[in-house]
Amino acid sequence: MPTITIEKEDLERLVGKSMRLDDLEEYLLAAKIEVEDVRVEEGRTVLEVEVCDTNRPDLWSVEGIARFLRGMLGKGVQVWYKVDKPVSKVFVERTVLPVRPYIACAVVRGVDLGRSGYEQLIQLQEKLMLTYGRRRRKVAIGTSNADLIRFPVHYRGVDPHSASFVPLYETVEMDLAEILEKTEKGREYAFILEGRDVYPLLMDDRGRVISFPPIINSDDIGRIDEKTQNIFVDVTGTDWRVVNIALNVVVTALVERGGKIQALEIIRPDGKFVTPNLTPKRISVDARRLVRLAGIPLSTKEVAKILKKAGYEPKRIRGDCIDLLYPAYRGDVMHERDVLEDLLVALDYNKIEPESPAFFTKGGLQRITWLEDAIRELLIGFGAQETLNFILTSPSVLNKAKQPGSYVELENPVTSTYSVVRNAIFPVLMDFLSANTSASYPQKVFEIGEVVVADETSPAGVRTEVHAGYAAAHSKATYTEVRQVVEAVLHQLGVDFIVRGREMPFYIPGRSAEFLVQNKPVAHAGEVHPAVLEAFGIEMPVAYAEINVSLLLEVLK
Amino acid sequence: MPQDHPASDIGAGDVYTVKAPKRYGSVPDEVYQRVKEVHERSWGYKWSDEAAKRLILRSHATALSAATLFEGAEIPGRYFTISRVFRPDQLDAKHLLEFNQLDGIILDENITFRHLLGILKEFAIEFAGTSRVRFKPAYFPFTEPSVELYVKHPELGWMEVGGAGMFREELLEPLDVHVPVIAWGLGIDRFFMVSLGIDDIRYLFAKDLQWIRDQKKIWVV
Repeated sequence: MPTITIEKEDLERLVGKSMRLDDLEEYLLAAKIEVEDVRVEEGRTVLEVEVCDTNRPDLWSVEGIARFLRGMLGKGVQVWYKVDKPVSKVFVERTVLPVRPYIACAVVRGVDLGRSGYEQLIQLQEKLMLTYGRRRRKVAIGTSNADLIRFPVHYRGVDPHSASFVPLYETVEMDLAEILEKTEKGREYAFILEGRDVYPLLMDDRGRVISFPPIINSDDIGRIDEKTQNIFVDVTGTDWRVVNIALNVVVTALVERGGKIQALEIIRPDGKFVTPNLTPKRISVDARRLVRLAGIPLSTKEVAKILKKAGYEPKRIRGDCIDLLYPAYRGDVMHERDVLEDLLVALDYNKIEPESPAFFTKGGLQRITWLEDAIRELLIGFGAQETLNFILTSPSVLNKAKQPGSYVELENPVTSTYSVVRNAIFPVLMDFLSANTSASYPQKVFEIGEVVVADETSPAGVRTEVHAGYAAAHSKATYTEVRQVVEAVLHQLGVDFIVRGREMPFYIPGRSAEFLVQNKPVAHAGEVHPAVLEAFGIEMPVAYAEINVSLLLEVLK
Repeated sequence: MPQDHPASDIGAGDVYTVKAPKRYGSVPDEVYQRVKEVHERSWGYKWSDEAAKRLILRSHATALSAATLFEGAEIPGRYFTISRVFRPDQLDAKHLLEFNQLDGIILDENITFRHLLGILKEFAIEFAGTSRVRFKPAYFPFTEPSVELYVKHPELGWMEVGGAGMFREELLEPLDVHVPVIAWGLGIDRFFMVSLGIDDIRYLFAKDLQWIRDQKKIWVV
């Protein structure tokens, strides 16, 4: 989610209305924008805001936010943009197609940027490239001084050592390979060009470099400042649709600063295109369906009127069907559902009366939950305290417990303490006892929870099971005590079982057993081996039992 | 959720991946192809088989709601789950590496957004003991419209307790569900903290036996 900085005064000027900070925060919520910080800097009220909608890059600048607020305030949203016919061209050479195939450009004239406008433009470009452009891989944007460029411009693929120029804010000339090594941006984004023997380059007709997409602009013609009035915008990338949306977002933001858009003709080996294309997009919606999903009685006319606030232009109404036009900078409207949300937001979620669903359904627990609850009740009945532990644990806890079997390791743990998924409750419950050696004894604790064990028959190679672990720690804790607990649980559940001796690495030999139901080992119990107790620093004898609740459910069925 | 969602690509790393086994073996082919087709058509990106079959620890219980729809839910139907979810996060008073979510769905021909707001308000009254709620427009890749629920706690002020919305067609279509579905995912641990009067979420997984013994077990409603 992008966090951007905007100035309140700048926003108010663009909206054409001053707003109390509280009111402004309310309005911004409708745009899914949260104010994180407010501070006063040199007489300007600076707001740091988080824009939660990653699909609405048109809201990632003060200009876009102003446009949105004007709609909500009933001042109307501009759907049509005037674009002057192209007088110049951009030639796309075949050589660049394998490395970065798409480019869309525009010239915006007569922009009055000023300090705020300049800061917003740079910020919008950066945020678009980072998030919407997937760290510049999908989209990179350059802004240059159109007055210094001799058109037509040429977009070509070149050998990394064949071209050199002074990169933005540098002082010496470097070739493209050097730029990737020596400049900060070069090092940051070199990964995009890794393994390529041709790099993209945008040059003017005199052969001067405008930019080296997606890395950096040149320091002369590829540089703009607060006073630049005529701006050349180039957007390059790997996806024609996304490249065009990014261009539309940038140029329409500049329109808010007084700019006039001039198109350019893009001459490609596979055809000619004119960019930017700001013809409004269309979607048709069924107003009756929208109203039914919203649960709010509105006429088709009312729906059309509210959608105007949300930035749509109702073009035609036929019965319940409304043909809508919306601005070309929006790429998020995929479906009627997207229009439904815009409708509800324009209505204000908090002015919609909540309603309880009226129909009747019969409730019930899943069988596994029922069984967990039954065992939980029984163990509490035996005087045990329920505990809740993490499913993630450390290899050292599993090792100390001599827990057999393989376990799942995380690829990206935050800390080694929580770097593996437990394959039994036993190690985790021992770790719990180890943290409580100063609490009063007897200690009887249990946990019912999930564990993950290897399973070659499952498509995942592992399966999740519910286990119930029970530990009794006191001076007279014995195998007999925990055996009785397991027997009582199985008896209460009405299953027939047999008990037979079974050695486990963490039990004292000869003092442990397993419980078989229909030949399936549904539980084990025993006295914990002194070596394990010592590893956990527990000085009291511990008797333990673990029931495989998932397996038990299978045999109960 | 689209595979190339920005959050998964800018180093936000909000999901745990596992060393081994790395990939899911076999997915029912028909539904797999349908999901792939809808994603490529709607979100306009190239589907990655590798990313789709990569095994992860779930970061949202919404995965279980989708699975319930896939297995064939009844219409009308209401389903819920309280499930552990995992996120690589900082461990502090407000964040755990694993926590519990209460997720639910209602499917019905006549289910509406207003019903969703009604359900959310009911949760606020039952669990947080307040009918003072605020609904905020929100963004989730799998719901549209989307909403966040805030409740006013007498001492702690406005708290965000969860997200909700109506499942997108892009989620429902490949699962062959043709009625609207409202869905929510609430941070159940937050409700628990409020009712227990604790301000550090780490107490939920307390290792201090004496502290656990001292807690009251029964709330008089």
